[in-house]
Amino acid sequence: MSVATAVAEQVLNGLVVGMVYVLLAAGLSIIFGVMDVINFAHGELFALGAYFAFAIAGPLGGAGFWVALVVAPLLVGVIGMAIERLTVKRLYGRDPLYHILLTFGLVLIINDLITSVWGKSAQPFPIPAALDQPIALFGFTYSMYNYAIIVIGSVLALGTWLLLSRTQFGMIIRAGSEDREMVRNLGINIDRYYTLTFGFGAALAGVAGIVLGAFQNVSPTMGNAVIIPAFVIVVLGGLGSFRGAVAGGLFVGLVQTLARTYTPFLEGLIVFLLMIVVLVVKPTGLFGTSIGAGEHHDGALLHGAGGGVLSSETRAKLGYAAVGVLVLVPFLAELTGVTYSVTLLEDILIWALFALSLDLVLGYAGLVSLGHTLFYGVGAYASVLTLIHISPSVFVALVVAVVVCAAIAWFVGYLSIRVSGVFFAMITLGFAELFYNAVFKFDFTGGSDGLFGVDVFYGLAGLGIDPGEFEIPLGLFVFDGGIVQYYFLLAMVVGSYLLARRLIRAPFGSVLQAIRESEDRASFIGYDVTAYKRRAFVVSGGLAGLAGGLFAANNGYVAPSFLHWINSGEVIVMTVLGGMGTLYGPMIGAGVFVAAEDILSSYIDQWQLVIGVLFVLFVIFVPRGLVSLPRTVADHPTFGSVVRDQTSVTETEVEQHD
Amino acid sequence: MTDPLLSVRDLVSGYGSTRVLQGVNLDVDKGSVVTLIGRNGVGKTTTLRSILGSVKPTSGTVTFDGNDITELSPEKTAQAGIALVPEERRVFPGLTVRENVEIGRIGGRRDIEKPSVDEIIDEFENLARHHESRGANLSGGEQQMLAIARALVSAPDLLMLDEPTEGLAPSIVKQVQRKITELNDEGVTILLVEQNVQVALDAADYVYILDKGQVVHEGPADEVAESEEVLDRYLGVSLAE
Ligand SMILES: Nc1ncnc2c1ncn2[C@@H]1O[C@H](COP(=O)(O)OP(=O)(O)OP(=O)(O)O)[C@@H](O)[C@H]1O
Ligand SMILES: [Mg+2]
Repeated sequence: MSVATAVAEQVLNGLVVGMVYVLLAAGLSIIFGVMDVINFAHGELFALGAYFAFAIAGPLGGAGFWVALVVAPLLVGVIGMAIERLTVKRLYGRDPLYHILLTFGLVLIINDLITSVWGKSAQPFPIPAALDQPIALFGFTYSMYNYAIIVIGSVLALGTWLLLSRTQFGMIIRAGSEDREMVRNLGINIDRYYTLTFGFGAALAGVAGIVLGAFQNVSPTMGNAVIIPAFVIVVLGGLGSFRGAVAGGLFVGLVQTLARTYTPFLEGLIVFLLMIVVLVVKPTGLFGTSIGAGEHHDGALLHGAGGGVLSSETRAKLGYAAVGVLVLVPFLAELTGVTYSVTLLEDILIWALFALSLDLVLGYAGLVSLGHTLFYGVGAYASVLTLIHISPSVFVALVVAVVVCAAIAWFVGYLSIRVSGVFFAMITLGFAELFYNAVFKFDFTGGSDGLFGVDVFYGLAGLGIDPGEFEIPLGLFVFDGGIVQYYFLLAMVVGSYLLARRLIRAPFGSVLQAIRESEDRASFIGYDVTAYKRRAFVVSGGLAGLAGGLFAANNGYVAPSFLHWINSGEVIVMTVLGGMGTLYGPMIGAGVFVAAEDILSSYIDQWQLVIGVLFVLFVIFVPRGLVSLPRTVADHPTFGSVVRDQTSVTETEVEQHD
Repeated sequence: MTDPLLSVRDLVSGYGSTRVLQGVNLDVDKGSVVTLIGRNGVGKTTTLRSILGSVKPTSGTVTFDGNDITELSPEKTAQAGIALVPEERRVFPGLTVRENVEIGRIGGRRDIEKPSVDEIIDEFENLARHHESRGANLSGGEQQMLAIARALVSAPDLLMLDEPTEGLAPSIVKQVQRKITELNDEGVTILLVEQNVQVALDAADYVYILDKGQVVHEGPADEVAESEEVLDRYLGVSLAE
C-alpha cells in the first residue's frame, strides 16, 4: 500500500468517527443552544440507541438492521421527550448547574438500566451482510459499511441543517436560542418546542449509537466513552452552533484518528489541548458568536444557607458531638468487631474534604468547576510520587500535593476565570481530562496500573510512626497503625474545615459573598472580582489536592481512576445534596452519599439506579440540599408548628453564611 | 362612554422581594395613544412587563377587552392581542429581516386575518431594502423599525412600545414618531413609554406620569404640556428651553 492510500484510508476512518461525533454533538449543541441544558445523559441516550437497535435487529436478521436504524432512534426520541417533560422541564429558570446535576443522575439511571437488561459485558452487533464487504472505489478498497456511515451521517446532518434553516420549526428554535423570552413575548409557546428539540437531539444521538455500535460493538460504557469528546466538540465549535458541531465533529474525528496512527503519544491528549488552546484564544469557540445563552441566564443558584432553624450554638454543639463520636469510633469498632466501619469513615472524611473544597468555588464564588477531580487526582499522584522519590514522610508528601494543586489551580484560573460560566466549567473539565489521559502515557505515573504499595511514614526526619509496625495494646483494645492513620486523617479534615471557616468569616469571605450576591455591585464598589475568584479557586484546588493526597497516603496507592470525570460529577452531587454555600452542608452530603452508596451496593445490584432516582428527585424537589430540610419542615404549614415551638427561629441573616 | 381597551387597577409588582410598582392605575381607550413617562428606574418597563405577564404581579388587576388577563403568561397575553416592542428592541440577531417578521406573524392572535410579511415589510421603506440581512447587521433605527414591524404583523389590538426612540439620531426619531402617528391613524391603539418628553407629548392623547412605582399625575397631553410645574417636579425637564 502506498503512503497516499494509507493516508486516504486514515482520513476516511477519521470521517467515519467524525460523522458519529457530528450526530452526537449536533443534538447536544442544539439542546444547549435552545434550552441552556448541558445534557450529560446524551451519551447514555447514544448507548440506548445502540442497544435498542441491537435488540431489534438481532431477532429480525437480514433487513433487521435497517428496521432498527429507523425504529430505535424514534424510541430514543420518545424517551428524550419524556425525560424533558418529566424532569428537565421542572428546572427551567434555575442555573444551568442544576441541569448538569439532573442529567448526571440520569446517567446513573440509564446506565444501570442498560446493564441490568443487557449485562455488563460488550456484545457484538453485526453489520448488515450487504454492507459487510470491501468495495473498490477511487483505486483502493475500503469497507462498504464505513462508506455507509459517512453517507448516513451526511444525509442526517444535511437534513438537520434544512430543518433548522428552512422550516418554521427551525426558525423558532433559532430564535429561541437567541432570545427565549422574546419568543414568548410574541405569543409563541416555546416550551412545546423544547420537548420536540430534546426528542430530536436524543434521536440523533440514537442514530450515532447505532452506527458506532455496529462499527465496533455495543457496551454499557460506550456512552461514557463519547460524552466528553462530544462536549469538547460542542465547545470547540461554539456552544449552540450547528455549523460548529459539524465542523468540530469532523475535525475531532480526523484529528483523533490521525493522531492514533501517526503520533500515538498524543492520542487522547491532542483533543483536549486543542480545546484549551481554542478556548483561551477565542472563548466563543470556532463558530460561536456569543458565549451562548448560558451567559445571561437569569436563573439563580439555590444555596443551602437558610437552614438556620438551629441556632449557631446548637450547630456548634452538634459539630463537637460529631467530632467526639468520630474520635470514639475506632474503640467502638474494635469492641463490636465492625472494623470495616473505620474504613468507610475514612472514605467519608476524604470525600467530605473534597466536597468542602469544591464548595469554596461552587457555593461561595459561584464557579462551576466541572473538572474538580483534576486536583484530587493530581494531589494523589503528587503525594505518591513524593513518597516514592523524595521522602517517605506523609507531611512532605501532603505539602507537595497542596502546593502543586494550588499552582495548577492558579494557572487554570488565570486562563479561564476572566470569562466565567459555562466556559469555566468546560475548561476545567478539559484540563481534568487532559491529565486523566496523560497519566496513562507515562512510566513514572505507572500507566494504566497506577502506583502501588507505597510506604508512608507518619512523621518527619525519623521522628514519628510507621503505621506498618506500630502497635500499642491497651487492654481489650489495640492501638495500631491503622488507627493512627485514622486520627491523622480526622485531624486534617477537621483542621481544614476550621481553616475554611476562618477564611469565610474573614474579610476575604465577605467579599466572596458580596460577589456571589451581585457581581456587578461588587466590582462597582471596587473589588477585583476576578482576583478574588481566582484566590478562592487556588485555595479550593489546594484543599482538593490535600484530599487526594490523604487518600493516596492512607491507602498507599494511586490510579488513573482518581482523575476520572465521574469523581467530578460525584463531588458536585455531594455538595449540592448537602447544600452548597454552607461549609458543613457538603460534608454532610458526602457522608450521606458515600454511606448510601456503600450500604446500597452491598444489598442491591441496582444501587446506581436507586441513587440516580433519589438524586434526580432531590435536584427537583430539594435543590437547597439536606441542610435546608429543617427550614423546609419548619415552614411547612402543618408539620412546622411542632418544630417551631421547640427551637428559636429568631436568628437569620447573620448566621447564614458559615 | 365605552369601557377602555386596557385597564390597569392597583397593580403591585416587582422582582423577588423588591416591590417596584406600588399600585399603578391606568386606562387606555380604544384607538388612542397613551404615553407613560417618568424618570429612569421608576417602573415604566416593569409596568409593561406586568401587563404582558413576563413579571407576575403580586396584586391588582389587568383587564383587556373586558377579560381579566392579570394571571396570563406572556404567550397567552400576546395571543389575546397585545404586542410589545421591547426596550432595546431585541430583534433576533441571527434571523434575517424576513424571518424576524415571519416569526412575529406566527405569534399574536390566532383567530384573525394577519397582514402578509411582504405587506408589512413594504410599509417600512428602510426595511424593504434589507429582506435578507441579518438582524445583527442593521443600524439602530432599522432595528427599531424591524421590532415595530415584527409586532405589527401580528395585527395586535394593543401595541406597547418601550422607549422606541432611545439612542436614535434625531432624524430617525422623527421617523419613528411619524410611524407611531401613522399607525394610530390606521386605528392601532398604542401604549407608549417614552423618556423623550417632547416625543411623548406630541404623540399622545393622554399622559400618565409615573414616579416611584405610582402614577403621580395624569391628563390630556396638551394639558400636561402646559403645566410646567408638573413636568419640572416629576421629570426634571422644562419644555420651554
Ligand atoms: N430583572 C430585574 N430584577 C431586579 N430588579 C429589576 C429588574 N429589572 C428592573 N429592576 C429594578 O426595578 C426598578 C424599575 O425598573 P424599570 O426597568 O421598570 O424602570 P424604567 O422606568 O423602565 O427605567 P428606564 O427608564 O431606565 O428604562 C429599577 O430600580 C430596576 O433596578
Ligand atoms: Mg425601562
